Amino acid sequence: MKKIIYAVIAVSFIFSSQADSKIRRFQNKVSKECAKEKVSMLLLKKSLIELIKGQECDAKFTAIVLNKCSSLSCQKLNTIYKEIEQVRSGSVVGEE
Amino acid sequence: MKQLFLLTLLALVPTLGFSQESDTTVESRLEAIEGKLDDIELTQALNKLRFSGSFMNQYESFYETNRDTGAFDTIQGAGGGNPDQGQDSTISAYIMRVALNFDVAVSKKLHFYSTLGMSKFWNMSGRTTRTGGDNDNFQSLGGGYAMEDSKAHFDVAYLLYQDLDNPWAFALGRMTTNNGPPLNQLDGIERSGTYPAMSYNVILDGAAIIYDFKKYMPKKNNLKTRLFYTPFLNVNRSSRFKNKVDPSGNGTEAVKTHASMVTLLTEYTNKNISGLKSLDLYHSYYTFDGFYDEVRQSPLTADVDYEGAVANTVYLGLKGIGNSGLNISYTYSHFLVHGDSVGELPSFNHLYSLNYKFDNKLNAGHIIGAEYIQNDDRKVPTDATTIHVNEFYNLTNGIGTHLFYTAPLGRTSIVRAGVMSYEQGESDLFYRDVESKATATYVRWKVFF
Repeated sequence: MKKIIYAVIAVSFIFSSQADSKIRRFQNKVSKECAKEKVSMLLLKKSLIELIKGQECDAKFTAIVLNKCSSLSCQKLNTIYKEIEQVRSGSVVGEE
Repeated sequence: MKQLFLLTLLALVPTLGFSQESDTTVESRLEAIEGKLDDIELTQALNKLRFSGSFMNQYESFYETNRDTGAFDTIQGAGGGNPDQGQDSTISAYIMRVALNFDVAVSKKLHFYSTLGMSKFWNMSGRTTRTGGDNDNFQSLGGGYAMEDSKAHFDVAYLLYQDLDNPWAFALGRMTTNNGPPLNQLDGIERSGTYPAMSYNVILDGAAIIYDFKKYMPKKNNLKTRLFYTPFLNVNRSSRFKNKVDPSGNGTEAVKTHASMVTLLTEYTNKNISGLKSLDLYHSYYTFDGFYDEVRQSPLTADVDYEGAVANTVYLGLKGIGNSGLNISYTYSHFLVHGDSVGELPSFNHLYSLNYKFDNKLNAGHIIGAEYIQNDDRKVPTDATTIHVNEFYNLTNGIGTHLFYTAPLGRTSIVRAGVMSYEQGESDLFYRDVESKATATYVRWKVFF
């Protein structure tokens, strides 16, 4: 039963990462800032949910991301979020 | 021994019973969780539509003094013969622009992007022109940016086929060819359009093939080419199965249906230069032929006059200079207009852009910047999608400066205030015999959602 649940969770995450380029763009940008430290996809999703809800950098998962990645400041994270929020995907022809 | 075994069994019975009950509870809970996960997956699979948008309101105060030199008053046709263009303009206007994006992930590799857009002056409808008289093609190029009325236009409607494991991508439809660099830097956002703005800041319909040379490039370097085929079409306005007829001359000449236009955009980006966030070097080459414009026909000849152009634009952008918020860009564009009646008319044009994005606690994300534009006598108007009363980006035989300050309001909106001033001289491309000086002051609030 647990295997099934894990499979469903995995499929769900893979699907959503393919379908929603906002998550991918967020992940790419944070990953570039945190080249040395690896921040897990799940953690980034949790942090993105917090940011979408309007929470600040001291929110639970966002704080963990910032703590894990020393070169990423709260300001930079906000800038990254603003960039993905304010530029629609497909605004450059050929870029998803 | 037998007594001991029975005692042990008796002791275990309640435990076994509890264990069975616990297993059942866990199983039912797991099933419930599995069901909920299925629901989420189903919702996500069914919800292919992604919605976003922006809403902007702007106040602009515009003052322009005009002096009619009378140089082309006696010219017949092609925009000449207008003896009185010397009135000054004092305009105080409120403008709005809304863009609603509906994007659909048709499949893993196929995406559909669309934007319903509208722009207008507050409580005013019925405008039909933007720059020097709009023909059918110009109206399409401006779409919902033309500040005409409250009707929504599809400013974007295209399909993108892209396999992320493959360097090729294909696009078809009404594409995001406008709002290219460096215009995005005014709002402190990432690249928000395809062509460099000085190459063409218009919406084009057509097809595109994109090739990404990433696998051949060193790390943090990228090279891409985008080839566009975007023909202008002319069909009779009232009968779609008939040719458009040129009303000038004897009024019976049919206008050609197609005016081909091909653009090759080559983009090189290097993010591996010390002391620089990135270097962007773009080259756009386009050519079009057989372009018909009603207002540029001579009444003295029966033949239809067609025009075309070859244009080369180079955009050089340096971002994050000295690992600071300093960004500089330079765009050079060269147009060579050719036509049946005008011969060959070259123009050399320049746009310098400089801005600084603050990265401190006091005013994080705020931007201060300036632009300087210098356009030739024969500069073709290439901007149909900036929302302004003034014509800063469409200057002909003119120079202009633009100073601006952009401040983010939270994560989802920005306020920008700016002053644009410019001077324009005569132009024999449009037989514009007016010398003008203009100043515009504006403030805009743009909300993203």
